[in-house]
Amino acid sequence: MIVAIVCLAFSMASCDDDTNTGFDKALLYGKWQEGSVFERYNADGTGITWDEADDIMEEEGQPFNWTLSGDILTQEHLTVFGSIIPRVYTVSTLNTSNLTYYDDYGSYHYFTKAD
Amino acid sequence: MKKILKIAGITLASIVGLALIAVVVAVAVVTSSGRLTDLVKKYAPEFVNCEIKLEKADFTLIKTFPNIGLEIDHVALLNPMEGTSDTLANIDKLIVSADAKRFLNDKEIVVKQCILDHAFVNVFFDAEGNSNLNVFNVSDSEDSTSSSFNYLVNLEEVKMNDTRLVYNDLRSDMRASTDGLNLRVKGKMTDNDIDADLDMSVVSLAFTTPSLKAFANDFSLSFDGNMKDFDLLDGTLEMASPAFSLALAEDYLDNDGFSLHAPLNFSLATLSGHFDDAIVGLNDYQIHINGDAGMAENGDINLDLGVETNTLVIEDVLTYLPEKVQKSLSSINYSGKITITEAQVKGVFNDSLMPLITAKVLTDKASVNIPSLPYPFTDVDLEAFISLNLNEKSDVTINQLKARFNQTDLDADGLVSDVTDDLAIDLNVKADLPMKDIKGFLPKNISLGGRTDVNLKAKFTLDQLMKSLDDYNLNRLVADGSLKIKDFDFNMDTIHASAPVLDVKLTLPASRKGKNRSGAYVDLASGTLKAKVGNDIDATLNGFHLAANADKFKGQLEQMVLNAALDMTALNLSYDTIKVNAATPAITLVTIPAKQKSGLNADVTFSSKNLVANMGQSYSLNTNRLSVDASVHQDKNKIDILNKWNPTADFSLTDATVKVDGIDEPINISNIDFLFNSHELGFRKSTFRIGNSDISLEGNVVGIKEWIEDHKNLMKGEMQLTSNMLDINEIMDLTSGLGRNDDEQETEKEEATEDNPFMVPEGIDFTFGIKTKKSLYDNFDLNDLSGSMTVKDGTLILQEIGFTNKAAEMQLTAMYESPRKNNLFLAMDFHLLNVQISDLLHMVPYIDTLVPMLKTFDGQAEFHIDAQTNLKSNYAPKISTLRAAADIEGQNLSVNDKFAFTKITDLLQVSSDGEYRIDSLDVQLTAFKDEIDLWPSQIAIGKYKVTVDGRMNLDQTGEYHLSVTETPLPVRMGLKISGPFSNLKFDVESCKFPNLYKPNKRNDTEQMYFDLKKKIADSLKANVR
Repeated sequence: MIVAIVCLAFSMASCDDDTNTGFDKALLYGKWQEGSVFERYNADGTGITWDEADDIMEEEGQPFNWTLSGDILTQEHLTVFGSIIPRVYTVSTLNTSNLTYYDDYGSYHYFTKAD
Repeated sequence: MKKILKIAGITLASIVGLALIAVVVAVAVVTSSGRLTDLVKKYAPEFVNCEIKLEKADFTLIKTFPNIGLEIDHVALLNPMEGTSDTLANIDKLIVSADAKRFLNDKEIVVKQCILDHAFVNVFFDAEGNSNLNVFNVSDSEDSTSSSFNYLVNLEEVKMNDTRLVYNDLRSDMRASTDGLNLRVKGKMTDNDIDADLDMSVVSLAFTTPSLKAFANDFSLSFDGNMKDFDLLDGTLEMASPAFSLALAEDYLDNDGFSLHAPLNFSLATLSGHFDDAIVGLNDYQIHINGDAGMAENGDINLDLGVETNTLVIEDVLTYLPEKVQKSLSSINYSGKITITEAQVKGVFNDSLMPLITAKVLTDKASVNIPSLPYPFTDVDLEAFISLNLNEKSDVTINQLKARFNQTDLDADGLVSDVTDDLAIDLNVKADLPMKDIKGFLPKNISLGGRTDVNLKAKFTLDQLMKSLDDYNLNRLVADGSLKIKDFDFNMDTIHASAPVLDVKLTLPASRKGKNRSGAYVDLASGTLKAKVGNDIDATLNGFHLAANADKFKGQLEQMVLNAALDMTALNLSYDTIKVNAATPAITLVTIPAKQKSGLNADVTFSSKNLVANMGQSYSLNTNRLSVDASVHQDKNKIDILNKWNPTADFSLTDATVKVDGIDEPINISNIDFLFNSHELGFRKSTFRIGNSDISLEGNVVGIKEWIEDHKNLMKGEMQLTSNMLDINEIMDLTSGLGRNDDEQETEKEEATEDNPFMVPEGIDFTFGIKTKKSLYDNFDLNDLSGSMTVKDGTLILQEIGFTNKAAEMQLTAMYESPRKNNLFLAMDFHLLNVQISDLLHMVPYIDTLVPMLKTFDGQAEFHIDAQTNLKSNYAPKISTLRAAADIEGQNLSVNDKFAFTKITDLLQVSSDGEYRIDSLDVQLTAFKDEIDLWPSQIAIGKYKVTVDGRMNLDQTGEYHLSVTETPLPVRMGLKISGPFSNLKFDVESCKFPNLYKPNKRNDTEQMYFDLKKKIADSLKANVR
């Protein structure tokens, strides 16, 4: 009985691990909003971000490439001269309406689906 | 004439023959017995060798008293010949009288009178000369005597009443006929002299030869005179017919009233005579003739006559002229009166020759209407001398001609030659001419005003003139003219010109003024001429002088050949807000007709000294010399100005100053030389100075036309800019906002009325190759700057600008965009090699913000940064858009902040051996919004290697981690530095990245960071050249 409980417990822990460390990247597609900040993730791995508080609209937004591997969301922002500014985040929440990620310095970002 | 005389002779001979028959019969009657009629029949064959018929013969005394007479009724002579009627003569009544005294006393029969009533006489000659008239044995009877009487003919009177006479001579194809001929000839012959009195009237007369046809109705003829020696006729001849027709080679008279009063002295032997004030009447006109006329044996008529007329009506006179003459004048309508005096008709007249006719002609209030001219010539008073030589060439010398052409008074003299063929004019004309009278000669779109004195010397043929007036080809005409036009006024389409006085000199054809010229050459001069083109261009030209030749100027302007040279002492021109004042400008204009009527092709040159031009209050130009060599090729199908005119212009500007509103410093131009056309603006080497900058510019701008057609198209330029000193700040001020429309700028003003950021010109794609010895940007001196600057449709790019200053060797690539005033964009890719860190921080203050720890160090470093951000109108960065990556590598760097350095090394148990220096530095930084991340980077200090990473926020707080990865000590310490920079907190911690630089020991996270670091560094250095 104890063995069964231990196995169940590992099993459940394993399920939890799977849920927390692996996200369906399809859930990321679309426009997300955090205050005046928006991010749009496209299925082809491109994205764009803009902050309307700075009088920037979507068509003037800045591009990035993204990957989601497990719960690691990597954004590579591109400059016009070809340099790369990488951003590495850990995703904690990703569903149809919420996206939460944070970085190594404890900076959290809470997005809600905007479209 | 000879033939007429021949007919008359034959007629007289016939009468004599008939008279002799009658006389012989009478003698026989007297000397024999029997019935008179039978006797006539009996004796007639002695005198007439043809059949003779008569009805009745009887004596008469009453009708012939005091002579005795024989009256024969219905006498007919029949002499059949092939080709004509068998009747030679058929006389209703023939009366012949003889001198009764001579008959009774001297037994002489002297025929005194012969009268024929209602006779028909038919005289015929066949082709061999045989005549039906050869029936009289006259030679045997005349002057002969019978056995008992001497008889002779001494006719004192011959009368013919209502006689029809027909004469037909096949040898010469000559025919004559009369109807209703009444003839009375009274005469007295003494020895060889005849004193004659002839009266003749004819109801109708016809006379034809192969070369002459004459017809007359109610023709009368009388002659009162005498003949001497059967030769010389001396008397007065009168002829008249109300309807006389005469045709030689052509018709001269057609049922015209004709009369002749001719005192003459005429020799029948020589068929020549003298007229003494003979008067020929032709309808209402009288022609007085004096002189000699005669007929040669060959039929030629020799004339030497003086002729004068009363006043004639020109239209009538023209109908009497030879058809050839009429034809040559048929294109012109004449009317009025003309008087011919001092005329001479001299020479031979025959079938092929006409005598020379000379005459002085005077007209009075005549008019001449040439249909192709806009107005007729009226009040034509002509005094001319005509030399009419129809055999060769006929001329008219105009001694004086006064006429009026609409409102123009003309005064002319000269020579009109070859009037019967290709009428040629060589005239000197003076005129007082209202310019509007010329309008008819000009294209419809041209009108003229003013009045001028004209002096014209012209030489051309009428055919040339007519053709030239029709097709405006003036090369056929030869003329020299001068005009002094007062109150000159010219209008053509939208072009208007006026002048108080305009002197004009005209030369035709223009080829006389030089090779390669054609058409008309004109030389215009005016003290002041004002011109206006449309509603936009106004010009005043002082000391105006124009020399031009024009050809093919019928129809549209584009077909005209025009070669004009214009110069003046001063020009004042205004076009919209542009005002131009020029001293001694010179303009040339040459048009080249298009093969197809597609538009005007023209070459224009302009040169001027001391030219001042202003465009409103915004721009002004003052130059010592401006020259333009331009051409246009018009395409009527296009609307916009460049496509419509396709201009090409070569501009040269020397020693000029340009002032631009808003720019304090003037642009001083040493020389600008550029070629402009619809596709290209090509700068040859042009040098000018703007403020502190001296600039030499060379290159091309293309796509101007496309840009004007649609501002979405880019005007492209490739220019080489070289300078010893370039103040970039001033240039940016100069070019800010070019190409932007006012509405856009107005909207932006509402957004930020205080800020005026540099707005990159739109609609252009310009690349400037730049090479300067010294440049000034902000407060930095940039030496030996080279590279390129591209301005493309609102984006300014400094491409790989290399330069040096005291701090470093540098390479800069930068981009600046200004889509909106409040949304600017700045990006730069900046590489500094061998830069002093302190200088770097001075040159790029932002670096201190991005990498605050950098100010801790000093020494030579290599620095690469790629940063971009959107900017507000006041150039403040929009932090949300800030993106940057930097790479700093250095070795043997000294430490400025010794206290902080010592504190860190102490905490990490890193020994610096008392030196405040680090051996190597290799860091990568990125900025994202307000977060600046220092990627795990290794710093070497002696035997120690420390990996540093961290984050700094723009609020001057941060968190850094230092991990000792190599140390002689067994313990590898970590240090966390966090908090606001003013109060940093130092905490010892474990190593965060112990194996980042140990490839075999890296975990997945370290490998990811290592890869990203490399990616950052590689992408930064990829642009270093």
